[in-house]
Amino acid sequence: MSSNALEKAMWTIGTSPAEAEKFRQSPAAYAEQFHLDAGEKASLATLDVGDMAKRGASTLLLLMGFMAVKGPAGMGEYMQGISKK
Amino acid sequence: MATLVGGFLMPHDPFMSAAPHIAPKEKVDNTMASFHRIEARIRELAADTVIIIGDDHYCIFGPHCIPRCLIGIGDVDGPVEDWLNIPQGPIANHPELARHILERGYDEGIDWSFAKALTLDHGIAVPHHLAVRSNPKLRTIPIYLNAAVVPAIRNQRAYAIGQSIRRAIESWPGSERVVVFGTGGISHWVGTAEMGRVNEAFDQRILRMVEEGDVTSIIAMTDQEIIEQGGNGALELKNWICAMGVMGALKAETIGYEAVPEWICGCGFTELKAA
Repeated sequence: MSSNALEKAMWTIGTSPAEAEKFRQSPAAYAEQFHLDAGEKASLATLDVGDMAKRGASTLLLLMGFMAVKGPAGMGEYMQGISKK
Repeated sequence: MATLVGGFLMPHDPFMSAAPHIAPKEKVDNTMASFHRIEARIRELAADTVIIIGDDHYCIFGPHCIPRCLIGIGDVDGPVEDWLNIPQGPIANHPELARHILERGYDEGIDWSFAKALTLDHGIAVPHHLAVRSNPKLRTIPIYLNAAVVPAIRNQRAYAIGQSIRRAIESWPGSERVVVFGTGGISHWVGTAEMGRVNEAFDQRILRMVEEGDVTSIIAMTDQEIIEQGGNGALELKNWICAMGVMGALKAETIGYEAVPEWICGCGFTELKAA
């Protein structure tokens, strides 16, 4: 339960189109396979990049994983999420 | 012995190949002119081998393993990203010289990681595409420093690795003519709320230090100072420091600079020459 597990999840999603598709199909179920606490699971499942960044996850990975799921059109949504106070 | 004939510092911004058109045409043209200048200088220097120092961006290495310094001593291909607008395929390495750099480093206390079959990410693939690919005589030795994932390699260590690479080149019995690339930077914020910001004043300060051959002042900058002023992407100055270590005493000439918020990066180009 840590930013390390969040990073592992986002790296897995970001480097494998098949994993990204699994995430898209069922985000909550996908989050269950990693060592995450309830808050971290919710953050991953909703792709709350602002919260994951606050928890210490690398923004390189957050951007990569988010874009793998959302595609190029998701950049605006990413910036909104990462800029959230 | 092999001869180190020159060095160059340049960005490896993936937008330069993937989506150059999102930037104003003048900035695109000036940036590509800088790459063409490097291509021409490499031909003038009659180089046959290029050592490209870059950093991975969590594209090829993951949270399970992040090497501090890694050299490709075998097959090389790439890029791993399919969206770079760069043909994916084999890239000619110089495995013998790469192995010699590794072995010499081992003798000198450099704990290289190594790859026998390495797929590049944009950190090396973009400079290769824009400054090397057009010259079929060039073979490429890829070196990855961890300049992106904190805790990153220390600046002094990056410089020491460069010095070891230089000694390896000088002790290689072949007649190769080698150039070195330090890639990345300058200011950019990757994935943060400030993404798109470029700190031109910081970039110009770095370029002045390079022009003066003042690597000592760059090495003295803390990672926190670099991140605050140049963003997390500016840690890639460690790749520049390593290349300056390869060069040793040097003089430098700025080739070009463009602040390109559309590419989320300040793009600086410098030629390094032996002093």
